[in-house]
Order: sequence, then C-alpha cells, then structure tokens
Amino acid sequence: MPISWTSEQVIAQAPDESSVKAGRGLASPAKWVSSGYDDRAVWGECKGSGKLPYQVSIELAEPAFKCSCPSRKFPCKHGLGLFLLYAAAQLKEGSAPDFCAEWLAKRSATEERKNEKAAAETTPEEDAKREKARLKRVADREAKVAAGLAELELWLGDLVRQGLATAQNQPTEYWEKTAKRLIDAQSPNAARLVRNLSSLVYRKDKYGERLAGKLLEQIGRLYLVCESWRRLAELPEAVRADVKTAVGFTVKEDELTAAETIEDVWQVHGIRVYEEEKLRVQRIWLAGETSGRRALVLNFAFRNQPLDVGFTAGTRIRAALAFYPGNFPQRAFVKERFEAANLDALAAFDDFDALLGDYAAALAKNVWLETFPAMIRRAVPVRRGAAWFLRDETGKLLPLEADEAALWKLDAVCGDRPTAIFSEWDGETLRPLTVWSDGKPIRL
Amino acid sequence: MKLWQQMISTAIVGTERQKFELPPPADGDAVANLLGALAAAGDETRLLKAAAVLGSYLRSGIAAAPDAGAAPEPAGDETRASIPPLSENHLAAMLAGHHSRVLREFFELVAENGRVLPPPFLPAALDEGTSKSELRPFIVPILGARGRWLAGRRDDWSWAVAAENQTEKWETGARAERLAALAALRREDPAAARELLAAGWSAESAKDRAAFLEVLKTNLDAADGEFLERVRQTDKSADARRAAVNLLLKIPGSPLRETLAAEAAALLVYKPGGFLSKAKLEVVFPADFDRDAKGDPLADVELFLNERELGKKAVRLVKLLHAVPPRFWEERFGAPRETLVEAAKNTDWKNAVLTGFRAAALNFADAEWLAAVLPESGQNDYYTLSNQIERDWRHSQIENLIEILLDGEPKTGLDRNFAVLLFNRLKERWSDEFSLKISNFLERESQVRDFKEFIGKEFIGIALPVLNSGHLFAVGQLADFELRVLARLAGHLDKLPGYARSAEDFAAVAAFRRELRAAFRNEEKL
Repeated sequence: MPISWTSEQVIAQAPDESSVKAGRGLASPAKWVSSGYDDRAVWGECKGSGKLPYQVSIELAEPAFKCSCPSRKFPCKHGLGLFLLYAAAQLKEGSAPDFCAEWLAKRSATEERKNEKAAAETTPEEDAKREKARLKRVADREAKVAAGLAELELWLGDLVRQGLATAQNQPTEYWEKTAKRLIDAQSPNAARLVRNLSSLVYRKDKYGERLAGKLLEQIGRLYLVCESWRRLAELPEAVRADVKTAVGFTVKEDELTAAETIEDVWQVHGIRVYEEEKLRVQRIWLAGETSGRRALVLNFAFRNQPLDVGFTAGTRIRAALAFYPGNFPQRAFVKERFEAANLDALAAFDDFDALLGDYAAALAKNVWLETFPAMIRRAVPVRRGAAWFLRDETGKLLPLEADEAALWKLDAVCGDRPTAIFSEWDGETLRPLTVWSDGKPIRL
Repeated sequence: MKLWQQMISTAIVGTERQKFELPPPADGDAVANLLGALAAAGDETRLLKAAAVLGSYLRSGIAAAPDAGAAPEPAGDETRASIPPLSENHLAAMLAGHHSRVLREFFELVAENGRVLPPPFLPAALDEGTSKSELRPFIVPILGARGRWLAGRRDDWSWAVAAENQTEKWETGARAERLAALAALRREDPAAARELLAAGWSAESAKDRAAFLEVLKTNLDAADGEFLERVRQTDKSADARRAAVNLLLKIPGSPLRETLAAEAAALLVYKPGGFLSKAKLEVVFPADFDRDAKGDPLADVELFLNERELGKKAVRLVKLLHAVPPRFWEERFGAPRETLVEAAKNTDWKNAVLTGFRAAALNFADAEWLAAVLPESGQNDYYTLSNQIERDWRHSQIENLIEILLDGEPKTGLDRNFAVLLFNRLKERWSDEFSLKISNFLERESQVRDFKEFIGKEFIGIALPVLNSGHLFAVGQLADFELRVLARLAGHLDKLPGYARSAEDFAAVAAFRRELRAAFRNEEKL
C-alpha cells in the first residue's frame, strides 16, 4: 500500500456527521459486489437502491472521489464506506476495472487542460481596460477603509478615555455598531477584532485583572492597525501586506503570480475545522522537511459544501506551496501537489522555550499574528487543580484549551507517557489537534 | 511590569479620570526609549500607543511557567492486543448512535477475543458506562491497563476501578459511589461485601441502610441469613426491616420462611371435589390472626393493598400467602395448580387467596403459577405486573413466562397481550431455545392464518416486538430466523409500511451483528 490511512483520517474527509454515519454503514465487505485497490486508486461497486450497483473510485494521492450515485454530498457515503474498508485493510490488491481506469485517465487529461487554459493569453486592450477598472476599485476601497479606520481610532480614544469599567456596562450594540461600520468600510478583519473585544468584555470569568490586561493588549493591537494604515506608504512592502491582511483585505490565489513558492515534502501536523459566520473553516498546518518552513493552508466552505480533503493529519505530501505576502509569511495555498506518503520523523520543537522563542521572532515580524503551529516532540497533558496544561520535557507548563471530550481523549491516548502533540498556540493557550500514539496520529 | 499595571488601572477608570504620562527614555532600555519617542497629544492617544508597543512586547515575552508538580508516572504497559481496525469503525459508529443497542454485544465480543478497547475510545466507553449502569459489567473487563488507569482519574468513572480499590471507595465516597462500590464488591466477593456492610451498619442513615441492603440481592445465599435476621429484628427503620424480610424470604430454609410457611399451612384447608361438589379451598383463621403482635414480620411487608376495602384480616392473609412459594401448596395438597386456583374461587376469601397466590408467584418468580392465576387478574394490572417482573425477575424467568403464555391456543388473547408487554421488558440477549421457539411460533402463525387474520392485532402485537429485538436475538438462530421467518413476513408486511420498516431494521441489525463478528474473524485470516 502506498500510504496507510486510518479510519480517523477517512472520517475527516466527510462533509458532515450524517455522511459519516451512512459511510460507516457501508464499510462492510458484504455491501460491495466487487472491490480492490492498486498503487494509485481504490475501487468498488456498491449495491444501492437502483438496478445497477454504484461504481466508486478513489484516487489516493489527493484523495479524490468519484461515484455514480446521484448524491450531492461530496464525498458521498459510498466513497467514504469504501475508503473506510480500505483503511481497515479489508480490500484485496488487483488491477483497476474499466470504470476506474477511465476516470483516472480523464482526471489526468483535465489537469493538463487546466494548465493549458491558464497559459492562454488575452489582448492588450482588454488588459488595459481591466487594469483601469481594477485600479478604480482599489482606490475606492482604500478611501472607504481610511474613513472607517479614522472613525475606529476616535472610538478607541473614547473607549480608553471613558474607561474599560464604563465599557463593561455598555450594551452589546455599543460594540456591534462599531463592528458593522467597519464591515461597511470593507474592513472585515478589523471588525472581527472589535467583536473579539466585546466577547472578552462579557467573559466574566476567572481572569479578573488579567482580563483587563488582555483587553488593553488587543485595544493596542487594533490601534496599531489604524496608525499603520495612516502611514502605509512609509512601510516596507511586506509589512504593508500584513497591515492589509489585518484590515481584512484578501488576495485571490490567482493574483499571487509573484508569490514565493516552495516545493518541499510537507508534514501535515494538524487540521482544525470550525464554523465561523455560517462558513466552515478548515485550517491545515504544514511543516516543510527541508525548508524548515511552517505553513497554514486555509479552506472555506458553505455548510454542506465539501472542504479540501487532500490533507490528512499525520501524513506527508510533496507539494509546491505559494505563500501569501507578508513580513512573516505563514499562510499559503497549494499550487501543485504530488505523491503522499506516511510520516516517520516529525519536524518538532524540543521544548516550550524553543516554541516561544520562534513565536516571539514571528511576532516581531508580524504583531497581528494570531495562531502559531506548536508541534512539541515530547509532552504530556497534566492537570493542576481544575486546569489542564501541557508539560514539556524540561518540566514547564503551558495551558491547554479544548472541549472536555478532546482533553480526556488526549489524556487517554498519552497515558502520562510523553508523546508528540501538535497544537495551535494563540499566545495564551494551546489547542491540541493531533496526538501521536506509537507513531500513529490521532485527531482530537 | 510596573508600567503595564499602571496602564491597566488607567484604562479601567479612563484617562478622563486618571492622567497618563509616558515614562522618560532610559539609557540602554530599548522599550523605554521607544515608548519615550511616542510623542502624542492627549492622554488617550498616549495610552493607546503605549498599549500597542508594550502589549506586543509583553506578548512576545511570554514564558512557560515551571511545573510545581512532579512529572507524572507513566501508565503501565498494555498486555492485551487492541481490537481490529474495522472494529474501531464499528465502535465509533455505535458510540455515535448507529446501532447503539448492539454495544453490549460488541463489548462481550471484545472480551471473548481477549482484546481491549483502544485508548482514544476509552473516555467515550467510560461515559457510556457512567450513564448506562447495565453496561458496566461488560465494559470493565475490556478496559485494559490503560482504561483502568484512566478510570481512576475521574470520580464519575470510579465504578470501573479495580475491585481492591472498591473498599476504599466504600469508605470515602459519596452515596452513589458507595452503592456502586458495594455492588461491584458483591459481584466478586459476596461475603466480603456483606461483612463490610455489617461492620459499619449502625453508622449508616436509615435511608442508606435500606438502599444498601438491596445490593445483597445479588449472590444472595444462606450465609447472609444471620445478618439479615438481625436487621429484621432490631433495626429501627421500617424500610430496612422490610428490605431484610424480602431478602430472607428468598433464602430457602431461612427460619423466617419456615415459620411463615407453617403458619400459612395451618390456615388453608383443601377439600377435593366429589361427584356433586366442586373442589374448595377454605380458610380457617385462628382467633388472634389479625392481632397487632409485636415483631410480626408481615407488618413490615408492603404490598400496596387497600386495607379499608379488603379488611385487616384479608390483608394479613395476602401478605402471609405472598411469603410462601406457591409450589408448596401443590405438594401439600397433592393437587395441580390449575385445580387449586379453581378451588380458591369457591371460598369466601376468594379475592384474598387469589391475590395472595399472585403475589407469591411474582415474589418467587414462578412463571407457571403466574400464568395460572393471570386470568383472574384484571388486564388493568398487566402494566404494574410487568414492571414488577422487569425489576425482580431474572431474564430466563421472563423468557419462561413468555413461552408459557404463548403456548397453545389462547383462550382469550389476554395472555398474549401480557406476553407482548413482557417482550419489551427483555433486556438481555435471548437464549438459543427461546429465539428458536419464538421464530417457530411466528412461522407457524403466519402459515395457518390467512392474510386478513394474519394482520390481526394480536399476531402483529407479537411480530413487532420480536422484529424490534434484532439486537437481542440469539446469534445461533439469527441467520435462520432471517431466512425463514423474515422472508415469509416480508411478503405480508410490505402492505403495512410501518411493519416493513421494522422488518428492515431487524435485517439491518442482524447484518451489523454479523459484521461485528466477521471483523474479528477476518483479522485472524489476514
């Protein structure tokens, strides 16, 4: 087998819970008329409600799915069921039947056509017209942003003049109105930062004085967005890109023609999927084996649409990643991907000092950096009082933050034996995403 | 940092109440110099700028705190192998609610194969046992070293820790924990559990004493007699005395049971029927039968009888009969139960005697006797009866009762209604014999009746609970039932979508159960 998939990894590909359930129902050899796999693909024919069995093919490299069933879910339950069987080593090696071989051939052809299309040229007149329109759009937006941020600056001034104690007694609209005005001013990320402030204010919890400090720190960072925008022209190009990201400018992948591209074998350390404003967000954390670079690939999807399923925690994949510009380029997109393989030696931090050292260096380059990948080679979860911490080999602690089920799962898998654990570090807490048990990755 | 603290307190009250000045630049202090260079008009702007600088500075300087505690001791090695990968899928599916009724069987399979649950599933399995105590005996054996280690980390999982720790739990735990610990110990070492309970008896509250006694129901035997007798005679709590009496009655040969049987024997007189007379069962009360004697064990028995309606004498009669195994009467009078039930109808105390027989049949889980007195009960009592049976009878005893109720042609259909109620009370896997009998019964019934009659209430009434028991059907009979009966039923049930779905569910559960087993078998082959 070219790559060993665990059922956890397969489940991670599912578009939703009901697909997982249905897929598991089909992960039984009895449900399949025929099935098999080779180096490149897995195939099978599944008895369905129709006369003919559904023909399912999975290309393993990405993985990509194809099924003859009418389901709009992707991958569908048949694909998941077959993949689960494959992961459980329930299939026999063989040679691909026609329906699978044809699909694979078509896929290769499509890839080529895509590349050709990208190379096609347009006329100079069209280009000039487009460019003019684009410049106008850019100028319009920048004017809006400048006005919005100027207003925000005044609001922040009012906030600290009247005091945080006063702000705590403000109704939610006080914050929400400001956030909405920033949305209108096409500064969605600044709006998000304002919303974060309000969620901190109403979090009447254990932090007490620390909460006020945290609030002040974020107010400072938000203020820095305003001030940086005012002096954008004076800043180096890479920092300008960070400021724009902090405001909420997005760059489309195809606009990144000049992006820094790194081809490497990337270790997939952790994947987190969560919902934000009706969008499903998938964060994939990668670490380059030769380059030593760390990368964050983001995918977005509306509720039931599929997310990119090409990455699986605990595997490695040779790929070319293009990085979004910035002074500390972390976010990237996948330009091209090649074969996947199993992971053996993890690229990891030895202890928290090493992690925090790199984190500080990254912050020095981009103060708006929100999350940082924390792959620790040997660590163990511990409870001190009611709180959970991760303990490194030097006996230091950093707080863990996750739902109870994930924390207990982590505890059960570790058994108080130090093991490799990947988390997202947000400057305050670690959110564990993957734990390795006897070399086997387990998603939390 | 002093400046940061100062900034926080200024920010809290606001710069309109508290002025804010930047510190002067200091030699060699890059941060102070940077702050000093932030010339700005207005307190709030100065504070915002300083917050931007110092906030980022502090954030990048976060350090991990040294752990005041020691490094944890690694958990012990796992000696047994984990379940096959395909079984992990099955387990994940069941924990997510897919065929979750088969979980218990899955746990049994894991144990039969000498395997343990893999660590990632342990918290969910322990949670399952915490919320469904009936699953616990099946989870404990497959937790493995890691699972037992994990269970010791949370109070609500403490039911799963090793037996040697149960004594400690009993001594230090809260009420629910103590109950669980006593129950666990009673399963493994009945005498030790009794002695533990007896040792601290007088220190327990009245409410707890009665509840703890209930635990002795498991593995009850003659060795418990002395302790229970002491409780019965001396305990101040009526609840505790009642629990002791109930247990003592279940111990064959216990002095209490003998005494009450002797008293009852002196009371009933059987007159066999003759040419012209019907058989009769007469009651001869001694003069002081309903006296309020001190220490009357029956005073502590509670059968929820209406004394105002029945009268004091009758109530004590019912209680006394309930304390005597009904078979005692067949032996004593040399007559079968049907005859005795008929004879009981010909007495002035008909109601009391029949109610007493029924209570005795329930109390001693005597299926034959219960079936014999059932026609004398109102159908309104069925629900209460089946509740009590579910609580007090063993699984095989309920199976036995259902078989008797379904046997032969029903006279009224009423006993079938009762059987249907009982089907839904079966919680354990059916025995091979029972599964076979039921499938034969369904097949026979579906053959002899034409369709119109076939969907008649009483038949469907039985077919449905059977179809809904796919998870309980004996493994050995499963394939056979599917082939023979289900195929036959399917043809009819198609016309009734609701029932067709039940048949489909049965087939789906059966297929899933086969897969559970195949996953373990296939792994051996690979």
